[in-house]
Amino acid sequence: MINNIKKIIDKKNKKTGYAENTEHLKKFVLSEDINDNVSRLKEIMNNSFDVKSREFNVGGSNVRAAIVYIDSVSNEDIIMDHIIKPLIISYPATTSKKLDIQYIKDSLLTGQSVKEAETFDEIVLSIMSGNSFICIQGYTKGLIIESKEYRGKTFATPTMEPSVKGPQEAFVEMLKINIGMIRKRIRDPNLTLDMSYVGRRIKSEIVIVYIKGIANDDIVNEVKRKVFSLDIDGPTSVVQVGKLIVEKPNSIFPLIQLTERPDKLVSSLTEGRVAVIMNGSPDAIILPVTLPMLMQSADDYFENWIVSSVIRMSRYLALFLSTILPALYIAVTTFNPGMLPTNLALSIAATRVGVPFPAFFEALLMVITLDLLQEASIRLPKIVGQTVSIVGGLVIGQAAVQAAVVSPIMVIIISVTAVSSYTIPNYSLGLATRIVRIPFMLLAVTFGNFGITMGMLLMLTYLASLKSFGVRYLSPISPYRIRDWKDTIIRAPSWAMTKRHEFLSPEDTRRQIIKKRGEPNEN
Amino acid sequence: MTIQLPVLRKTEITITGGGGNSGDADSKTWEITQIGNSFMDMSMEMMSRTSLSLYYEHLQVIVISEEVAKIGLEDVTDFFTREPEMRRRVKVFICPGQAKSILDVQPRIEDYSAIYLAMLPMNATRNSRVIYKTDLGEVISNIHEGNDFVLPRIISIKDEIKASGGAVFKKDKMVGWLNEIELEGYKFVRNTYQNGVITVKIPNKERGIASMEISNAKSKITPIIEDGNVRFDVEIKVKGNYAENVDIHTHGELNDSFLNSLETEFAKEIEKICMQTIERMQKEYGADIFRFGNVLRYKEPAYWKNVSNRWDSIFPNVDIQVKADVSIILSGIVK
Repeated sequence: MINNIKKIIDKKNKKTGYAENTEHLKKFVLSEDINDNVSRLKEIMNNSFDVKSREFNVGGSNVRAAIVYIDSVSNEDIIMDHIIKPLIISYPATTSKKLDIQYIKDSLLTGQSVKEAETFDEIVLSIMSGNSFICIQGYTKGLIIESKEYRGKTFATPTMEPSVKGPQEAFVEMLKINIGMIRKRIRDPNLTLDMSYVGRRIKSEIVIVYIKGIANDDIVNEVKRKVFSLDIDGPTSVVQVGKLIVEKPNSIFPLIQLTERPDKLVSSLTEGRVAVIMNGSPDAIILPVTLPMLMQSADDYFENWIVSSVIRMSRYLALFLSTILPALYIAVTTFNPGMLPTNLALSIAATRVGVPFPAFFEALLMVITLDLLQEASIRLPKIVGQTVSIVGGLVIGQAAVQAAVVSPIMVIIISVTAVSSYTIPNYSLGLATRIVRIPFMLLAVTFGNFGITMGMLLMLTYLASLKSFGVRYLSPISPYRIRDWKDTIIRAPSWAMTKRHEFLSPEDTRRQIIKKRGEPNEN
Repeated sequence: MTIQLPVLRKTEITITGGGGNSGDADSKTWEITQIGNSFMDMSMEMMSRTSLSLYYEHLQVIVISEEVAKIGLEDVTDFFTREPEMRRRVKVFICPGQAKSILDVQPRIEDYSAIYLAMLPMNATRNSRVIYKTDLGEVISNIHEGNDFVLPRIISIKDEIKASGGAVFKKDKMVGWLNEIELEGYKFVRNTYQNGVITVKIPNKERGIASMEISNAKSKITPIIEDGNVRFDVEIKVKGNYAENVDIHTHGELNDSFLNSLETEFAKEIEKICMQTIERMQKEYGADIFRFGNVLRYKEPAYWKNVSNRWDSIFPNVDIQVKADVSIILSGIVK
């Protein structure tokens, strides 16, 4: 059945024949006539207005040459000063019809890199990525000269993962700048950047970053194999690449860690993880991913270890609450009221007098309202965003209670749930708890606390079965490795973290040597 | 059986400007009385009278009237023991007269007299005349072990409820009352004394009384067997603070000899209270609420084997000596 579907999809792919505009270009080679070449190039690029070409005489001779580039992605200053100027002015005067291409390449063009090209597919890709192409009358070889310049913001502050202390720098949309941010933090020659073009039409640069000698070779090879073998139309963001390379793409729990913080990426690299970055995408993904890692925040490492351990524990509590608090409320009010102290049971019951819905529908109503509010506040333009909070606050907070549609306790429960879900550092994990909440509520209304317990067991079993590039999702909690617990629910002091995480099987296990606390090492 | 049910009214949300309606005449509780052959019967019958089902997990107190208690508790507690919804932490009280009269009282600081009653024994940590921990679980285990025990007595006067003394049980049948002073004696000997106050006349003076706040009291019962007869030495060690004196000026007089004479006086008073209680139990009720039998059992098991089935007849004639040792730790600073 699945095979049949695959066959049909394959057939369709063949029919649509995406490759028509690039694959067949391999067959075409440059002709000796520059006009022919230029017009063909323009035709391939459908005569788009920003494809610029210029013809000129090389040196004092009558030999015609042409340059083709796209002005929106290339640096015109470089083209003028380093390509056209030396060719016109500095080429020695000659009457010969033959030019010394080797001389031009080696001694005249002052651009960053120059290489020869013959086939159109190579030339078109270069022009598309911002390089300039020169062809000379009478030659079947052209020159590709580096002249890329992407325009975009060069500086950003972290918005998804803000921190109180520490670096306030975030990745931007430009690959070169992003790599610069990584390079300036690691001056280890073992920092390895493997680049490839991925995507049939987009053909964006994708870079796999890791530190050779720390990252496990098997993990690196697996990431490389999966990323570089992708055959898709075009990922616009590295997130889409991430979704395609994970083991269980249907899992609602995030199997890729997305980060916009270069400092976070660098510390992951030194742990022995692998990162994938892509041109045009202001995020990086870190692999392999474990759940405890998603609960870490950059601030944890900038505070005293006791303080950050307590904060981290409260974050785990928040994860727990945001998943099952509404379910717990339903179970306790409808199934197991004996679990509450009598006075609390009475006051909860008193607030529920006059509420027309059973606790489950009451909770469902509020959870849905909360989800709508969250969604609305993200989608709305920032200027009208305030309206949502006012309307939402009033509707949920007061009007609903006064109209006796929901009980005040329910409002408290939902607020605590919402606040808890905001403390989860990873946005995708927060979304996952939002989804899991409703099945838990269903379990609570059908089986009470027993149902919640069973649901919890099921969810934990599922989480423990997930894998990210060979590493268990819940490691080091399951499989149990107490030595790696130093950076999970607690954050051990940095002098205690002398070994890298075992579960990542790093090539080099020792992180640091500290002989005596608080004093520098002798050697 | 009468069950007090909370009647919940919609909680009003006070809107700014709106006046509070404090003069609410509506009763917060609803007492249903049902007569029947078994508790289960009555419970089911009650459900035909309310729109909601009865839920026992939040049962707070069981008040049993003297009349029922004299017949025996074993039958009465059976339903409360078996029912899975019951909690062993339910407080049990005995009251003279109709039990319903207690529930009729509307306490001033709680909405429901049941919750008020359940909180009352908590004061045992401060007040020596209140018994602590008299929950259903303990009653049941006492009944099944065949022990004699004491349950708190509760009385209602007009619109007030008071924990006053205790009810003495021999096996599962109530045999009589303990007054508040005797209850103190019981707690001293039984080693359940927590905090309390003892007041005596100041010795060698014409007038004036002094109070001592007891912060720690430990009792130790030692059985001594002589010529095949047993007698008990009860040693009570009391520590506390000099709390108050009335009708006398003690400025500059709170020296060691004065405090020592007071200590002896306090000790005498405690011995007197204890002896009074023990004698009453021996002579009047023959109930070993102090568990002298238990002490004998684990300290002199061989002897206990011989007397265990005759203990009821032996206990009233056993010689018991009480010796109190009081030390005043702090006398306070008065300037």
